[in-house]
Formats: sequence, structure tokens, C-alpha cells
Amino acid sequence: MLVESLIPPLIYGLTIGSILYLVSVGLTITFGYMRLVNFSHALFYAISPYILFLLCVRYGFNYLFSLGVGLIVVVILSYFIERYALRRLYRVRLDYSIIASYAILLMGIDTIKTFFGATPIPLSEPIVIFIELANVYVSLYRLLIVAIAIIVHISLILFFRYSVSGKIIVAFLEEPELISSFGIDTDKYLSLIFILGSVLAGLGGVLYGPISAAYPYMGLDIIQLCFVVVVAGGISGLLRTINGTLISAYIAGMIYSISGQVWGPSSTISIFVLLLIIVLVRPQGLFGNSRR
Amino acid sequence: MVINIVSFLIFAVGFNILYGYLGLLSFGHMAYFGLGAYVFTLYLTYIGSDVFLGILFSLAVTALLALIIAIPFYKLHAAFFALGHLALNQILYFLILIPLATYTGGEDGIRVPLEKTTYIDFYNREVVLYFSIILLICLVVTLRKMEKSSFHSLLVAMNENDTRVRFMGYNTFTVRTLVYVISAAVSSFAGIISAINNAFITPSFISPYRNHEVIFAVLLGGSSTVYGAVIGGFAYSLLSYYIASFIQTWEFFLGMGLLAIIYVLRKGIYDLIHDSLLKHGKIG
Repeated sequence: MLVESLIPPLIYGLTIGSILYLVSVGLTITFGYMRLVNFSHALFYAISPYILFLLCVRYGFNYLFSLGVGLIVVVILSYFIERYALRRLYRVRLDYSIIASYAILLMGIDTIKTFFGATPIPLSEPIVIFIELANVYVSLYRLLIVAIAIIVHISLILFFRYSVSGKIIVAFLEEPELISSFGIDTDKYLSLIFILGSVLAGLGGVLYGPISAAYPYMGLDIIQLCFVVVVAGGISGLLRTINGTLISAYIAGMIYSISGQVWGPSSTISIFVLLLIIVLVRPQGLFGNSRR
Repeated sequence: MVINIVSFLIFAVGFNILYGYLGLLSFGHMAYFGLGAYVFTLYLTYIGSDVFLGILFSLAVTALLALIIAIPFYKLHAAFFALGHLALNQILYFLILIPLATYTGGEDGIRVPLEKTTYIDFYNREVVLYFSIILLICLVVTLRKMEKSSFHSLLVAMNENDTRVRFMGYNTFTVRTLVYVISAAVSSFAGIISAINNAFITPSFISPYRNHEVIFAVLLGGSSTVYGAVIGGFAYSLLSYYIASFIQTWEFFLGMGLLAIIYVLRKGIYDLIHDSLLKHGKIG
């Protein structure tokens, strides 16, 4: 009886946590190492479910194909935004980057509104299979989301630890001048890491779209939660930071789910209370060090 | 319409006290704007009947909250400062929207019972207009005086390097807290005027999704002086009013304008004019 009532919020919390993790990873890196509060990240999250809707629902293409196209659009878009708008704001005054990226987000939201209208568009779950788990039916799709987040996390860790590009990125984020003095084209790697983060945000958007709906302000709504995750995780060495983001994303997801279970409207706000507490008690974050 | 612009100008000036002088970007100043409006309205509805006592009460409550917030926020890094305010704004918005809905009317809003005050008619547009304009002028004159004083130099120095100013023996904590509280109080005053003018308030008065408006206005005018804030607020009000009536997707152009300011016109309209006049020897 107790187990049965606990499983749905647990699964929901894990799902939300996975989405938050996927969206937050890119933010963590730009925020932690480039000193950039990147609101335009939310745009990549919002744009991919809309492309999925356009291709998959309206024109009847294959689901995976539409997903791929959505992510490719995110790659192109994020490349241009990073290259021409945000790159010159790295490590300058923080408020400029906040305002500029917020402006990009506003433009993006308005573009979406022009093409698709402001009303939420429901998307159906691509996999409608339920499996029985201790007398409770659980959507396979949600379990799949959790699995994808874990796989992404493991591949990120492996990428940064064992591949040459990953090692260069880790080194660059720690000591930018040293790496550029080796004659390595650091801008290329900056682009790479930015696009990687944006694609993961896009993936998060595509996966979460069917659970709620696609609406223009979806990015703005989730990015605030993601900042909470980033601040809660804290910034230290890159691998530790990514692990911290994973853990704090799941903590935030569970808080979201449980408080929503207790009292419906409180789910979003409880996360902001968490942010306020963390900012006041431990500004460097749960796993961060105070050096940064 | 005009009174709404004046109220927005006061809000811009209040925001600029914090952002322009000390360089502290709060991404949730709507919290103070809305708090002023709501406390004022709730005072008139449930506690007293005098408008001026209501204003004083509302200012006192806002200042108290600002004081409580300012102390722990003192040492925060800029990003945490901005995000902390966003969280604060979200929490207040939520409180007014749902848990306190029986008192605040929730999503439907609440009427401001101005008729309780008998000796001055706040339903009369002209009274409100003169009242708000006199207030704005007093504010601008005071701040202009302050900008010529050594206190302003202290603030500029704190913006540049807080540690060094502290080392020179100034208590930067007190100064910063004071400026913060004043900024919050002025912002809430703008909220009160807006509440008096509309005679009806809704949660959009405290909505965290409207924070970019005042930031944009202040940047447009130039954030270093009070004139910049006033000019920027005025330009923004006109722009948003006229563009929004012509083009439906005006947020797109708002975003483009913001980007243009960040990349091209970082100093703002007022400083641009001021500098060019200075260059041509028109003013000393």
C-alpha cells in the first residue's frame, strides 16, 4: 500500500530530475567557467519540441527523424548565437550577458509565437507502453527518459576523461591562457562545448514536450529551475561539477514532485525556496568550492 | 496613461539607485513595486482609511523587508544577487497569487478603496497627476544634489572596488544596505502610485516576467545618472506604447533593441548626448 503510493511520485521526480539535468549541464559550464548567465539556453530547449511538432505531427514524418532535425537546428542556431552574440560577453561584466541573453530569449519566444501561436500545443508520447511495477502501472517512456539522462551523464564523464577533445576542454576551462599559449584554437573548443550543452537542452525539451505540452514560455519557465540546479550543484572541477549537477538535479526533481504531491501549486515555488536557502546558507553550492 | 508613465519613471529611478550607482543588478525588483501596491491596497481595505497613512505603512513594510533581505544578500556574487532576487520575486508572486488569495483576490485582482479618504479625491485624475509629478521632481532634484556630493563619489568607488573602500575605513555594509533600502522604498512608491492611478491591482503588478522592462528602460537612457533613468523610462514607455499598437510581435524588436544597446550603445542616450555636447564645448 505504502509502496504503491510512493512509486508514482518517485518516478515523476526522477523524470523531472533527468530533464533538469539535461538542460542544466550546458548552463553549468557557461555559468561556471565563462561567467555567463545564459538565458538564451532556454530557447534551445523550447525550439526542438516545436520542430518535432511541425515535422512529426503536422507533416507526418518519423519521430526519430524529426527529433534529429530538431537537434540539428539547435546545433546551427546555437553555433551562430555563440559565435556572433555571446562570445564577446565571456568574462566581461555579468549584467551585460544577463541582459543580452535575455534579449535573445525574448526574440526567440516572439518568433515562436508568430509561427505557432501562443496557445500550448499538446504532443503525444511516442511510446505508449505501461509496465507493471509492484501493482502500479508505470509509463515506459518516463523510465526511458531517466535511462537516457544516465547514459548521457556516463558518456559525458567518459568523454571528458578519456577523449583528447574532452581533456583539452577540461584543461581549457581550468587554465584558459595556458592552453591558448600551446597554440590550440580554443575558440573551436568553446563552440563545441556550447553546442554540446545546447543540444542536450534541446534533447531535454523534446523528451519533456510530450509529458506536458509545447508552449512559447516553456523555456523561460524551466530555465529558472535550471539556475537553481546550477547554483545548488556549485562549481568546482569540471567532472565534480557535472556530478554535482546530476545530484542536485535529482534533488530538485524529487522536491518538485513531492511538494506537488502534497499541495499542487507549491511544486515550482518550493524549488525557489530551495534556491533562496542555498544562496543564503551555502552560496558556493552543495558540491562547489568557495574559490570560484 | 501619463500617470502610468510617471509611475514607471519613478520605478526606473528607484531601480537605478541600486543598479546605476552601485552596479547591483536585481532581476526581481518588480517584487518591491508589487509589494508596495499590495500592502497599500490591503491597508486601505482591511486596516485604515487614510491614504497617506497607507502610503507610509506600505513604505515602512517594504523598507523592513528590504532591510531583512539586504543583510544576507550583502556578500553575494553578482549572479547570485540577480538570481536570488528572481527567487524572491517568484515567491512573493506565488504568495499573492495562491495562499493569500482570499485577501488579495488572487488572479482576479482587488479593487483599491480610495473613497475611504474623504478630504482628498484620489479618483480625480488631475490630483493624482500633480501628486505623482511633484513626487518625481522632488526625487530627481534630491538625487541630482546627491550626485554632486561626495557621497556619490563613495558609491562610485564602491562600485569599482568594494574591498579597497572598506580598507579606507568606510563601512560599506551600512552604505550598501541604506542604498538598497532606499531603492526598494522608491520602487514601492512607484507601485503605490500605479495602484492609486488604476484603482485596481492584479498579480501582474508583481509578475516576475516583467522585470526586463525596467532594466531595458534604464539601459536605454544610460544608468550612470538619474537623468538617464528618467529619459530611458520615458523613451521606453513611448516605444512600448506605440510599437505595441502597430506591431503585434513587438517583443522581438524589444530584444533587438536590447542587443543593440549592449553591443553598440552601452552608455545610453543621456550619456551620449552629454558627451557630444561636452565635445563640442556647449557645456563645461
